[in-house]
Amino acid sequence: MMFCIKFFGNLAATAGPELCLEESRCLDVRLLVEEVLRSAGEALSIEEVLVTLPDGSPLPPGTTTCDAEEVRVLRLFRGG
Amino acid sequence: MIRAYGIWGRLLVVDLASGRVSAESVHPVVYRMFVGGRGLAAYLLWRELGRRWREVDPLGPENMLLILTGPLTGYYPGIKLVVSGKSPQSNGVVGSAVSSHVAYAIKAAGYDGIVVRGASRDPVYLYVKDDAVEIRDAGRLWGLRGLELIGALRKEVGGDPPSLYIGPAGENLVRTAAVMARWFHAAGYGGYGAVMGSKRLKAVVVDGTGPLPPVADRDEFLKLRHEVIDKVASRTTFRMWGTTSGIWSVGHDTSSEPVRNWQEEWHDRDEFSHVVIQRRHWVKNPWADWGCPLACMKVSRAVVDGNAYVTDGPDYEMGAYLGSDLGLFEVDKVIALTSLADDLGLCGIQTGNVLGFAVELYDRGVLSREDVGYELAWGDFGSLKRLLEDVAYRRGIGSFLAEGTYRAALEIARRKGLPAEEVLRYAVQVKGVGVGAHGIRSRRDYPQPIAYAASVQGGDHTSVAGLPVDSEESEIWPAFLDSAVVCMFTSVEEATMLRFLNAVTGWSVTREELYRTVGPRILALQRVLLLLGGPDARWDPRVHDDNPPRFYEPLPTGPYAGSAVTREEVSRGLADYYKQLGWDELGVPTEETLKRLGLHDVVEIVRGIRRELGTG
Repeated sequence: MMFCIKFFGNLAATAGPELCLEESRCLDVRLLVEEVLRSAGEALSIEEVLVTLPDGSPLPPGTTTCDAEEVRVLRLFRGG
Repeated sequence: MIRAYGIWGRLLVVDLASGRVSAESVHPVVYRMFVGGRGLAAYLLWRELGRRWREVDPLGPENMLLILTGPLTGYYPGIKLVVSGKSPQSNGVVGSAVSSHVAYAIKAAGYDGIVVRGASRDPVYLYVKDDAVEIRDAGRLWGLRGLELIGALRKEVGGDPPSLYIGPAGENLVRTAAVMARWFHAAGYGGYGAVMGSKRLKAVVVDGTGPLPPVADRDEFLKLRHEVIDKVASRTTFRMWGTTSGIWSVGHDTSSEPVRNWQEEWHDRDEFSHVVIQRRHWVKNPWADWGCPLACMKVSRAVVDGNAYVTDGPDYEMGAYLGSDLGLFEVDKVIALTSLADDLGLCGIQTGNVLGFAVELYDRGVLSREDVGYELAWGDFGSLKRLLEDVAYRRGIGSFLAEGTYRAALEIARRKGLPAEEVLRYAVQVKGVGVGAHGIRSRRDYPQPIAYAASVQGGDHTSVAGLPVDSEESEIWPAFLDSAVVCMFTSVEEATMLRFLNAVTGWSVTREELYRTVGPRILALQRVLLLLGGPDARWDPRVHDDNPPRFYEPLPTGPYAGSAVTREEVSRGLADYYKQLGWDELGVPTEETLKRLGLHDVVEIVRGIRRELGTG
């Protein structure tokens, strides 16, 4: 099944605006996002990004790629 | 009659010229349109001063000092308030957020905010105990530094009621002065410490003991509150380090930390890190203001040259601006400078910005020993400390550095007979506001290339512009947080934030309404007032909707060496951003947009702006 991650802001400039993956297994979305960020060279942990469903609503804990087709990823802390 | 929830619909109005105190009702529809906090500030300032905005001196008695809460104050985890007025930095409106228990106390006293008009002849402080409001003599308090003042206020009023106050910098009308709270917290952006000083108002003490206004949907509110607390409390890294970890990571990992007045944005100084600060200097961890489950603050102590200094973290911005930006990488001395800035009532960001600018000018021979009165050098604690104090007391060269980086640049150019551009090229500011310590060149940090150029708050790193407009990347998001009045570090995803707002207020704000109407309305009003500017500095969007020249220079060091932004991408980004907000090609809100946003009374003055720009 196809699962897509949409990046916003500067993350889109470095990781690409959208990454779609064909997955045969159900993967934990947060772990997958963290791995993708790491492979894009982003010095960000999963705690530093906001992962939401396409309508901006929160991603329920334990959501897998079988539960959602697409997520949005944004930087969480915009200041400090 | 419309029933209001989450707000009282009532402001405390204090006229320091006449000594009159009154309460002003604000219709619930105004809150529905502008939310509160920063949005309400823009509305009140437009209504009261908008038509003669250009003539209003931010440091004159006509300006208003606004201390405002929002509908989520007291309900949402974490506590903030917004200080505003006509900014002596940008000559527009800046919503300057600060953590303070005063926010809760104002609401518990039965108000949504405090409006201070006029100026007192003699130093005073304001004491609010629920319905009892007194303007008290502050003759004995005038001149005191932060820590001395807090002690004196405790004796004066008894107990430890929350307060906002200014230090000597605010008294001396230093444009980089902050409104301070609880030793280390500062409403720094905007220069409102100087506004408070211009009113001869040393402190605002609020002891509110009543309840908060009722909420519309108590069950939903309690459910969401627990949900948010769980989420925020799970941010373990942030809870552990606060923003202090940025002192290392923003420089080393993302190459976006100012180093020597932004000549570089990367460092690999192991000794300049949160780990060293934690091991050697933290004496209290964690520390929080009222109702905050994140508790990201710390207390540090350092002894330098036999003197003890105490401050917060220091948080990232202080570490960057009173550390690496000044070429200072010894954390004990950074703590000392931060503590000194707190005590003098200076914004560490704006003051660090102008200090770094001065050291670079000295380094380049634009400023001489004769100009300064002593040697200046990167990382030299003694001279940096002296310069910081000179700014706060407007002594010697400090008298015009106290005007902030932009105005100081113009004055130095005038004194040296140089073209302004020759000096402004080293000024890392946008529209009179020094840029916060998050660079744009590496693109590994959050601000986009148009972040500061398009912001209605200039160089404010907490209110950056970005694309797409209908997302948390745009300036609509911080405008919303500052209007609902929520700490950005305890905010969560937009859907939950809106549900929280609606549960408290009984409104039904949708995502579409936030990004199409409510947010753009606040930004449009701030933008119009920014473009009006005056009476000294005014901004031409063709010139001033831009980054500091330094940001077009390639990064010289670090893993992203060679990286820079280009003028072409900034122009493209600005055009796209303006279009998405319904502004014209120069970033002036169109008549159609203003009418759609219900800002009919702004249309005429915007026609004037457009005529001046030759586009109307």
